[in-house]
Amino acid sequence: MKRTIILTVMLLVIGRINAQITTSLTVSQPSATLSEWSANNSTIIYIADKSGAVGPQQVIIKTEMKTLDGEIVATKDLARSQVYTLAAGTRIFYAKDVVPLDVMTFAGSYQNSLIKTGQLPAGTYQLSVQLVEPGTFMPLTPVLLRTFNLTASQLPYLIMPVNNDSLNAKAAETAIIFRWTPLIPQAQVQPYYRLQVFQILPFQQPLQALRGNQPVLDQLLRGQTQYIWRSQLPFATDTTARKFIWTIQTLNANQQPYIQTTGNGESRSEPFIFFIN
Amino acid sequence: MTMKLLRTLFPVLMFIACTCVRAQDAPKKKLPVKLTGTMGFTYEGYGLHLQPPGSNVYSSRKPWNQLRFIFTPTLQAGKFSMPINFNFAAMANSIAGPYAGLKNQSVGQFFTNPANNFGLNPKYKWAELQLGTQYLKYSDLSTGDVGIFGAGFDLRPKTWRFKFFTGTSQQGINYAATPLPGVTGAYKRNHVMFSIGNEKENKYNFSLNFSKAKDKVSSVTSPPLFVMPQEGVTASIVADVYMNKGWYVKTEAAHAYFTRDLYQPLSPGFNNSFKPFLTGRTSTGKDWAGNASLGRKSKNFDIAYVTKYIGAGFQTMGYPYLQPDRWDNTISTRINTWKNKMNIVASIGQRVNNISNTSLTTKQFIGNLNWFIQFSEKFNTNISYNNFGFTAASGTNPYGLKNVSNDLSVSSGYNWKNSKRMNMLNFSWNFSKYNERDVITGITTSNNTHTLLLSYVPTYFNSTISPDFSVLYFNDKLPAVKTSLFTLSSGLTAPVLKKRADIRAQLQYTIGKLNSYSANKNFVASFNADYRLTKKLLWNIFLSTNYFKYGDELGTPLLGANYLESNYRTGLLYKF
Repeated sequence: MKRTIILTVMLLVIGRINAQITTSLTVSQPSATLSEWSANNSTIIYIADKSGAVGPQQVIIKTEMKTLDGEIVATKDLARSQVYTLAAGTRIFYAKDVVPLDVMTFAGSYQNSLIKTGQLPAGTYQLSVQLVEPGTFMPLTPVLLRTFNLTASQLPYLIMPVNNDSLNAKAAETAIIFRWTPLIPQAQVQPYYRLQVFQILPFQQPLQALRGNQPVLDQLLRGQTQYIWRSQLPFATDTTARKFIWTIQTLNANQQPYIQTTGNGESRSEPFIFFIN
Repeated sequence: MTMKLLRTLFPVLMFIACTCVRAQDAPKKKLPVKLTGTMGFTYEGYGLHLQPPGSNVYSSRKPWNQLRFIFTPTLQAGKFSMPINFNFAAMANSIAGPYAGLKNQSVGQFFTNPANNFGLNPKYKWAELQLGTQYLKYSDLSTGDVGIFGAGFDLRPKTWRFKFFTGTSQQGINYAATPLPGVTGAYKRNHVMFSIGNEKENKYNFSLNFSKAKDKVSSVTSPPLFVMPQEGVTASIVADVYMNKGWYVKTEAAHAYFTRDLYQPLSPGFNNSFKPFLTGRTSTGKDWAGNASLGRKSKNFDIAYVTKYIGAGFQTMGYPYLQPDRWDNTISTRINTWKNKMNIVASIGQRVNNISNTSLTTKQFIGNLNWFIQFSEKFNTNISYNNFGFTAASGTNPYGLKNVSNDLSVSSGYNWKNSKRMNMLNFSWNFSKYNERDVITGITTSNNTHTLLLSYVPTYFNSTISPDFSVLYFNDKLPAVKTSLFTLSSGLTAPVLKKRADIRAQLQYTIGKLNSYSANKNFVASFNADYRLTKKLLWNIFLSTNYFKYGDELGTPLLGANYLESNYRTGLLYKF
């Protein structure tokens, strides 16, 4: 008798799944900073397509994040989850619907990492998503599983001229070599490095010059981490050109800041100063 | 708007200064009020002619026109003093930071533009008011890098220190896509900070520092596309102790709460609030940072160990460019010996990144040495060496990253004299090697650069004219790219017009060669004159022209391409 009831319920559920809602899930290169997911609609796309003659249906998106070993990283608190009403047709859900951080519950060490850094430990994770019925949390669609990798980016560090270095004016008039470390990890599509050098005027603070002046060098370079600048500046006669600040801005393939919500939001590395003597 | 403001503001400043100066110049009366300082303006023009026109072979690197004003007097009356620091530019030219791309400023944007400074610091005994633009450094980890327009105070009764400041570092700026290159946009950012401490110079310094900044979401009608409104609170404790024989210990520990995006929802379950100062959101992180140094300073010998830890989630609005997630350890020393004829400055250190395990682990080794020896009155040598090694785990690539930069410089100076002149000869050689491993193939490419420079400066005993001559050879080799530069330059300095003016002029000619392409040629001529119109009034003129003609390295369509860049600057500076 018991078996018959369970089988009947399962058949009913499967029947509803097959007959009414089909889903698909895409996860593409999510940012290591989880709060950035919701600002980028391409990070997670979950499409629910409802067909059939049945009227509007209420659903909840059930989400789980796991490691490859199956360890639970985060689960969505279904009791606090938003209820969506699906009418006939296609509805697209994004990261802010699928992984709303304010209703996700993270496991101990992952919670600590998230609160501290806004990121999870580097590694490969699995995202599983399905639609369930509000109240009963009975599944309405199959679980869709996608694997993705999280590794936080480290902006380049400046190498040379080293901070507060003093360069020979005669040599600097001909060439100055700039070097920096690459973006870590190395991106599949090579990033752009925007090398900028600003003259610090006699009455200016270094950061004032960086944020207020037009750079005397503004060079966009793809992938390379060294640049030889032929300054063509007459340092011997121009006594105001004695102090400079330089930095690297790391840009993605669309030439937009690579890291947008952490730090200065401009994806600029910590600047260095050099002097001409 | 800005120009109107300038037209009003500058005559007022001139009037105030002239009135005070005239009063001060009145003979034989010792006035209770004293005004000292400088004021003036500089106009700078820039021109760039490209051939073929519109070819984009070169980009402008200065504003076409710029007018800068400086007004920095100090008013002194007994124990009262008031330094004024006004320096500002007529046109906005920001490329980086919150004002990037903004051309037409409102009055509020003009006053808080980082290019401009309007600061007043009236001070009476130990009490100082801080008004207008201030760059305040409370400590290395709390706040110190950003100019803020506002009001505050710095009180120093006996050994106590009470500091407070509040203001705005940037106004709301609407995003605009056109006209190109557009305006990046920014949210209005308000700051508040305070510090309480006790300090005795060369004995100890203890302080508690607090800084908070928050972006105003409603300050823009067209929000920036890629900049999120942020909020941050940082608290730090500083403890420095200076002991006998030059020994010292300096420490700072800081804790920061930082919201990366104020549009994100609140996160009551995250335990990341710092109420009443900051309410946590899903984009809020909290982390700590610390630094400590132990060392000894003396006349001829310094040694120090410095450690600095910046947590991955540590971000402070007072140092917006600070790079997190690192631990630096450095030992440095300075030695003066051989009757002060030999100086050695050296440091060695390591930086480890990814303490938080959210990224790939990287290590950086940094070593520097500067060694100066004065062998005799005639001969000296300076040797400097910089090494920078960077390694990163391979991640998903077959090989890990490994970049090593080595930079060695040797320069020697020799001088001799006869009855007519003193001769100075300087020779320097620099060798720079940069190895970079490809993470896919594992092949290391080596970039070798040599720079040779020879300078000769004769100084004539019976003439005021001082010429100089130099020749430079630069050679850079990569596996498929070879760049050589050869530069000849000569300069001249001389007092003229009955020594009322000092002039400097220089001609510089460079031949550059890239691989087997035909040579490019560069000619730079520059001239500077400082003319003392009166004892207090200085007139400066600077002119330079830079002509560059490409070889055939740009390809057939741009054969013969060239550009002419000119820069002219003039200004008056009055010292009173």
